[in-house]
This record gives sequence, structure tokens and C-alpha cells, in this order.
Amino acid sequence: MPSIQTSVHWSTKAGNSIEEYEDAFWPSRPCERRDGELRLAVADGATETSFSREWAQILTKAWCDGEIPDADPLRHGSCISERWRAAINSRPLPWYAEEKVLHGAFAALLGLRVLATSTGTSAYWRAMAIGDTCLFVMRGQTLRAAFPLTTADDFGRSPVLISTRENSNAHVANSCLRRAGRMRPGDKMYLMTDALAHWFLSSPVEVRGLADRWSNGETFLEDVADLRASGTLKNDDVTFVRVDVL
Amino acid sequence: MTYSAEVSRGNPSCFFFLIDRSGSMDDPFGAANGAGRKAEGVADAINRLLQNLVIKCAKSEGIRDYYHLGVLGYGGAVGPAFGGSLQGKDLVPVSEIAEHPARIEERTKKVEDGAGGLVDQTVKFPVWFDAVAKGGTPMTEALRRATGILSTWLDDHPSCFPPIVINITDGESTDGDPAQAAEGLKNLRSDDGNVLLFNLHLSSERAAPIEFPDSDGELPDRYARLLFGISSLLPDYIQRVAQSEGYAVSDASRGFAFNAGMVSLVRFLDIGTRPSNLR
Repeated sequence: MPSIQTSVHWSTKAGNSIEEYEDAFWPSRPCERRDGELRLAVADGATETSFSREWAQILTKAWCDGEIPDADPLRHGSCISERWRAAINSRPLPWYAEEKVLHGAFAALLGLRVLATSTGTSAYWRAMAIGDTCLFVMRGQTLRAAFPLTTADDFGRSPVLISTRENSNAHVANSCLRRAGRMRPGDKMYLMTDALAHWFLSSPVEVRGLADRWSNGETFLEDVADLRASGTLKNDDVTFVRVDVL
Repeated sequence: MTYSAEVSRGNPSCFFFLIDRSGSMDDPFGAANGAGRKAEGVADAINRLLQNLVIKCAKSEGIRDYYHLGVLGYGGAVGPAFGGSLQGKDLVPVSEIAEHPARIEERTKKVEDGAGGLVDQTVKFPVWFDAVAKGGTPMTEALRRATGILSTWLDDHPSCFPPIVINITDGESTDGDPAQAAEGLKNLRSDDGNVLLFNLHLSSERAAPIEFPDSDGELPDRYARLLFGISSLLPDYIQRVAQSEGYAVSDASRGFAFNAGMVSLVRFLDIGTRPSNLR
């Protein structure tokens, strides 16, 4: 009977304050589940838009609450967007911020469901992705699955992102990708926002293995700092969620 | 590799505009490119560009000073062209631009109503720079002043993404051949490359614009060839932006447009000020 355990580590872009971190994840704390479904989400707010941190946070929570169905991710879009507007409008804004609100906020979103049952020997997973936040399924040092992007070259193209503006979501439904799979005890899954995911897919197997030791937060931050300094990891917000099947 | 430095708050870059304010700028654009006085068209385009740059740099916590901006007018006199509390300032960080428009006008624009139609929406139009059209065209002096201002700024920002200077003019220089002054400006450099000088010539003629040419063979006269000659080559990232906008450019293409109207002006400014590596 497998159980599922999660942990999360993150680092804001070097030179930015913690308040400027624009990724988001939910649940906000490590979880363990022995029976039933666990929902997780990671989002990456677009740097070019304002209030994208708030949008990323709202999206991850909405996914985990079941408000973003795989088959119809925009079904409750206007309701979810209203929460963003309410959060923004609760404060007086200077002219440029008002203008920026009109442009809307954008974010990538990866939603994951992992199911472990008391009678089974495997854990089943099902994921939905809009944009370039990625998951990687690992068995030992072997990469069993990469989703939604599979090679480093897949990054760099402008991904379709989910917006607070309905008119900007014309391509979201067609660009929303889904994948499912199975994991057995000992397998693990990494969820990463784009800078870290690009590093992971660009790196040889022995370098990727660094991710194995990131259950320790201090080691994670030290490694991220070293990778940024070496130029192999782009200086951007990084979020790393680990899912272990035990 | 040049023109690749990261633009950040710790390492800002710079856009500097030289604006012809001579008497002939009171004339309308050529009819092929839309009516309206050139001076007003330029003022509107620059104000809109400043607005867009402010918005681009605006985040939830405020304005990130990715850029320093300056506008130098040349006509009856040569000097900074900001109005309001920025009057007299050569180069200011974008946060000061955001906080100190000379005034904020209210204008109406059409926006989508979400049901396939358009509705009028009142929007704020901040103004930093007003149309002026008086006097001659002391372009050489303007280029020399720009050189002095940017030389000082580069001393404080030696590793910046190189400043981009955009000169908007409708006629010939009246204070001598600007070529040497232009070379002095383009010889300034940061660790990441030389200052870029782009020139945009506005027209009152009914002629199609020539945009981002790679040779002077098609240019109609000596003056056009002079402006082409003092314009910088387009770096790779601007070539890609121009190509994405439908322009056929090459490594020999220069940041130059001749006989431009309002549409060309706005596109030229947009392409020239797209961030390459904004973080």
C-alpha cells in the first residue's frame, strides 16, 4: 500500500525581494497521503504583467479546489478572474497600475492529481498543463516521463498562458495538455517552474542527480546559488516540488 | 557577444530621444501616411512610448527602474524637453517618469466589450512632452549634447546594455554636417557594445517610407544618404523583432527610416525600444 509524500522548496530570483517572487504552489505545506487523492498545483506568473503573483496564487488554489477541470479549464474562468480583480481593487492604484490592470495578468499552470489506494501497489497520477511549468517522473536516475515539455529546445518559444482577461484566453483550451501515468514505491516526481525545468532537461544525467538531494532546503538554496553563478541556471524565480511514492 | 547584457534594476539601460522642434515640424505629414501636424504626431508618439515603458516596468510593488529616459529637443534652442516637475532634466529613471507627468489628460478609446463589439472607454493619457515647432534644426549641437549626457551616464553604468538614441527629424541640419558629431556619439560604449544611433526622417511628401534599408542605393538624395550613413547597424535582437513585425532585414540593415509617416514612426519606436533581455 503506497503512500504519497510531498515537499517544496523555492527561491526568488537573485536580487529580488521575497515579495517579488511570482511563482506559486498549493498546498503551501508538505503533505502526506495514505489513501485517496492528493491535488497539487504549481504556477508561474509572467514577469511582464503586474499582479501576476496574485494570479498565480489564485490559480493554484482554484486547481486544488477542483475549479479548473481538465476537459474544460476555463469553465469557471470569469469567476476565478473576479477574485483577482477584487484583490487588486481593494487598494488605491496609481495611473500606471490602473493601466496595467487593464492588460491583465498571465501565468503558466501545472495541476497534478496523485491517487494512492489502500488496496493497490501503485500510485496513479494525472496532470494538466497550460504553459511551461513541468513535471518529471523519476525511477532511480532514469527519467520515465517529462511533461508537458520534453526537451530543452522546447523552451524559449512563447508559451500560451492563462490570463485574467477572457479575450486573451482564446488558445488556452486547445493548448491545454493532459497526461496520466503510474508510479510504484520508490518512484518520485519533480514539479519545476521553467528556469529550473530548462536546467533539468539541459543537464546530463549526473548533473540532474543534484535534484535528488533537494529534500534539504539549505542544500537546495546552495545548489541554486551555485548553478546561477555558473550560468547553467537562468536567474529567475525557481520552485521545486517533490512527490515521493513510498 | 555584444548587445546581450541583462537589463535589470541593478544594471539599467537607457533610451534617449532627440526631437526636431524646428518650424517645419508644424507642417502636416504626407497625405500617404495620414494627416496631422508632425510636431503633434511626434509628441503623441513619444508620450505614448513613455507611457508604455512605464507600464512595462510597473510591478505590484511599484516601478522597477530598468531604464533611464531622456528627451532632448532641438529647434530655436537645444535642451531637455520634459515639462512639469521634470523640466530641465536630461535623463531620469523611469520611476520618476511614472510619478511626474506634466499632466494627465483623459481621452476616449475603443475597447472590446467582450461580446464582439466595441465600447468607448475613458483612459488616462499622461503627457510629459508637448509639441513645439519653431526655429532652425541644430542637429549637430543636439548630437554633441547627447554625447556629453550619455558619456557621463556611461561612467556610472559601464556594464549596461548600450544606450539607444533615436533621432526624429523632418529636415536637414542647419548647423553644419552632423556626421562627425554622430560618430562621436556612436563611439561611446559600454562593456556590452557601442551606443546605437537610429534616425527617423518624417515626411510631408506623398511618398512610401523606406524602412530599415541595408544600402543607400534606393535613397533619393544626399541628405537621406547622410542620415543612413550615420545610423547604426541593427543588432541581432532588433533584427529578430523587425522580422517578427514583417520587415525583411539583414545584418547590413540600419536603424533608419526615411519619408516616414505616423504609422512608420510608431512602429519604428516600438521596434527600437523592445527589451532584449529584460529581467
